[in-house]
Amino acid sequence: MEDPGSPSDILRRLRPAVPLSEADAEQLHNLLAGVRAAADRMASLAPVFPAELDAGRLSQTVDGEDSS
Amino acid sequence: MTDSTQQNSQPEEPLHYLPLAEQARRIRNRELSAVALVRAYLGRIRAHNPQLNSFITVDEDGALEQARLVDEAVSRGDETGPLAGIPIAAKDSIPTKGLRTTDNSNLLANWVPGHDAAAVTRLKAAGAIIIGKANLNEFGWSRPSEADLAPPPWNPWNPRFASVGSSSGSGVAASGGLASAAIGTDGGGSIRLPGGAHGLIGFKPTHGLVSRLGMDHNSHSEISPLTRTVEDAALMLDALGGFVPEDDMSWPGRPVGYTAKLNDADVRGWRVGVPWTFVRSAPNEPEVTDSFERFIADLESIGCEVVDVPVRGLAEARMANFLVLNAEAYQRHAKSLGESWDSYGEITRVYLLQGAYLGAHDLLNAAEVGRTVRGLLETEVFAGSGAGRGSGVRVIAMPTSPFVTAERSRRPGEHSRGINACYTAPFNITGHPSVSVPAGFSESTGLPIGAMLTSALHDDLGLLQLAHAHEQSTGWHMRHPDL
Repeated sequence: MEDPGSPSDILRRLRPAVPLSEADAEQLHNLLAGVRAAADRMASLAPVFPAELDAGRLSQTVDGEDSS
Repeated sequence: MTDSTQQNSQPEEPLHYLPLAEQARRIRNRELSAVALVRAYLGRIRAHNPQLNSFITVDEDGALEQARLVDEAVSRGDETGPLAGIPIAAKDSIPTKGLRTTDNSNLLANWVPGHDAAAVTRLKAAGAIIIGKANLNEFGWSRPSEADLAPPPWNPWNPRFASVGSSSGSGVAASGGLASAAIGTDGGGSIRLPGGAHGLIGFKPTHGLVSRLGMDHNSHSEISPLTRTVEDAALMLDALGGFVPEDDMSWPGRPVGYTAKLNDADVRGWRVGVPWTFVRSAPNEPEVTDSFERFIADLESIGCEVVDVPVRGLAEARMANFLVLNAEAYQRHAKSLGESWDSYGEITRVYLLQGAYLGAHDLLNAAEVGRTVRGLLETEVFAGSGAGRGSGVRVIAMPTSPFVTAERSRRPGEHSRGINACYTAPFNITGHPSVSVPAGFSESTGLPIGAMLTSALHDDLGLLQLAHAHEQSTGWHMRHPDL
């Protein structure tokens, strides 16, 4: 996932497309922390070719910590 | 609370709370006219919708006209469908021909589709009447706000509390006796969560069983029924399900006939697996824990063998589903966000931008995790079940939500991580059928609490059969809000 950077970076990146405010950028920055955590977790599980995804590393808890 | 189970004489339920199966039987037998049933619901909508905000649009004239046609057909002795004359509330994200479909957004405040979604076509073919369009979180996304096109719905069990979404208005309509049943969509729990919070059966079918043709593309969101009884859910699924060739996600299987086979199974001896490590790691409220323990005891009392089953990857499946939802929502709205920013709700438009930073790798990684967890569930959990794949559990049991109220589920931090959907969302990306059933009440709020059952892919029938056996043993379905 692309690193969104700071709220200011978000404003610079998205304002050409949408007129979001500084408050919007702050809120989006907070939301993107959750998106990035999920994307990073998915990326961490991606196997090295030609291996398959190691199911033993999948968690058994709600927070999804690595089981390996 | 109305509780006919506490009466020795089993008094007649009021018409508006009768199961739709009974309403349909009476219409077929000319003991009840479809017009009378529609009028009864229209009267209740007029009386209660101003407070509950269940409906965004009510089709009074259209519903009455359809009801008259049903009554005429019945009078002639014509063959009518299994849902003939039954008024259904449809989530306002599901297109309905000639009937405004807003997605609860100012962007679509005046959109009147020229087509029905395939699911609506099937309901109408079965004789159902779309009585109106039910409220929802804007675009099924975001958090409700008083600034939305329609203000947020309130839970009829205790209108001091918000209705859980995103199919919130659908839940209000079915539980509050404003319609015979409702349909909505479940992309991460949006049928099962309101099902639990409204004391309803919220049944998310196996992926592809009910076509999404005619709606916006969403890989893991299923059009699903919300009903007051399991038999009603089976009737709805019989009507909604079926192969739609032009839909690339539609499952080309034969109709099962869920209603006819509802009582065919003896659930004694069925193995029910509880992933206790996962369940105990969730931030369950004490009333949820108590309710779930009673639910497990109820399953044992009807002869199920309840075992601890380790399940890996539920958290990762939830995250994967979350990424796909975000990416697809952004892809769908990216252009119009730029052109019509002010027509979106202030919260919704920011939520929709979450997908702007995701790339192809993120989606493919998520898809691979989803496939892996789907495979684990099929081979290591459900393997050997009565569904014919080895010697495992037939059904997984978990709470529907860690939280009792919508307000609690929206706590910052937890909401953005999807903790309110920790039990439901994993089975969207894996595609497994999953149902929320009533499992008790919160004493502190008076709100219902749900429990969730999930079975192997395409064992929707087994899921309905177990839910039905549980329902008949507990009688939760006989309780209704005092409205």
